[in-house]
Amino acid sequence: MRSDQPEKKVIGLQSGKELAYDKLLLAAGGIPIMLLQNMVGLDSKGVFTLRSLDDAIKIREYLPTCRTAVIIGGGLVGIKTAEALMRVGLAVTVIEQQPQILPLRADLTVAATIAARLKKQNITVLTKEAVTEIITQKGRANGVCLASGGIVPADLVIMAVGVRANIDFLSESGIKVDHGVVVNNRMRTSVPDIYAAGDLIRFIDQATGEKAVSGLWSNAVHTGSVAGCSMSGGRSEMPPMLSVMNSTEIAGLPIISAGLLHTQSDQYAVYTEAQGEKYRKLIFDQDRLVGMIFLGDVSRAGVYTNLIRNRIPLGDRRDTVIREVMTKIR
Amino acid sequence: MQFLYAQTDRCLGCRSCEIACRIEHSEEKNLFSAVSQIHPPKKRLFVEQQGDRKEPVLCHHCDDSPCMAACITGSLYRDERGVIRRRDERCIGCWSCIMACPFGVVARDANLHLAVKCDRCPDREIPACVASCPTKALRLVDADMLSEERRQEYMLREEK
Repeated sequence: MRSDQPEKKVIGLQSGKELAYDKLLLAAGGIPIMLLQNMVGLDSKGVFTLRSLDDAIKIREYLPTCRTAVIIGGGLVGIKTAEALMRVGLAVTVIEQQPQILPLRADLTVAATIAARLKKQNITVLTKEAVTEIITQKGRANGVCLASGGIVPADLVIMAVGVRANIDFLSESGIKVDHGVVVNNRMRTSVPDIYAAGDLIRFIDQATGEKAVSGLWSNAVHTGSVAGCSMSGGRSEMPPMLSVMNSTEIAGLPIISAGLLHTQSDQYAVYTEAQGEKYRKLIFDQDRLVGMIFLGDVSRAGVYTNLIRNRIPLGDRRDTVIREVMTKIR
Repeated sequence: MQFLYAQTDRCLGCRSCEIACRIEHSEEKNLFSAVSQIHPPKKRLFVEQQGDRKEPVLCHHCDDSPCMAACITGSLYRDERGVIRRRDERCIGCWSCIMACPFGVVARDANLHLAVKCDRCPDREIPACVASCPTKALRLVDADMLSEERRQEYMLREEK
């Protein structure tokens, strides 16, 4: 896309074709981050990212030649991929740079519980560890070198270090970007008649008040619907957004987390309750719920994610909320 | 459009609706099956009590259905009655619907690995919960009918 003639309202395609538009929607999504672009061995056979169905099919087709796998990145994609590869019989190692797995989606307690479950399933989890090089043999991956000095065998290497907004193609378009496409609350970009929605936009996180880019399905659904409405002349506004609001099941344990999960400041009041592996945590900023983690028992989680998302002041009902959440772990 | 309406001042908190819901969603559709089958069915509505107030909390089959918007596989859909239902084969048990529902009425069936919610009893004309309610606190009403009822109530109050 080029900015030289915005009044022309034309976009250029990779094939060289040009397309005219009255209104344009940018919905190019997110793309996996390739950490350490210049890492040795990154372009060898057996190194994959996982974002689309095509990626999954390519990995499956490569599987028959594999006995060992290394997952670089202990986030949701990394952990879910590790489980799937373990189930088809591979010896799997997950390598995470941070001191805990799921650093963006869980606190230390939850991460430790899940890591223990993964270890029980014979998945090796290495934290505070990094990969420095992918070892290859005849152009195929067969291991990784660790920052700490060791070597882990790996016929298959999955890069799962996160996603970023797919915005490189906009560099000459004149559209304002800041890690993601900057939009107003009706999903308009800085250029007239161009709108954006989904994983490539930048928005304000309701829980932290900070700018965020986040590839969450429900955010994409909502912003897409607002953009469609705006583009067809209707009135609709971007709902409150969170950059952390995730739900999944790992090693038989359901987990839902939303909002602010790591707090250092005294500004926040933190409440936790544990029953065996089951665990619940609420984080308040005065009478507003700003963060939550439910592990093991996720019942009624939506009530609380909505309190966070809409920044509902709870007043004297705050104690009732805490009691409801903490005493009803089943 | 018909919907389930709970007149809370009539609710005794007897939980007949919860039992009827489980029975309707059991294999043999009887009480024995509901308690004795290998994986007992989950209830899809919840009688809650706060102080003296009792109320069945149930799925509203919302127009802007957050559960359906959150469903990442397209398992949840709206049927011809306007009821939000689940395509079993598509539900992967990610619990995104549980995370999204502001009423907290989607449940996790850990045994079947399926998200469970009110389907408004597709095999029945009157949902099981409504049929079982001894005080008619739970009713299946037409939106227009309810407005008319409300207007009449209002007039009667004015007369007094």
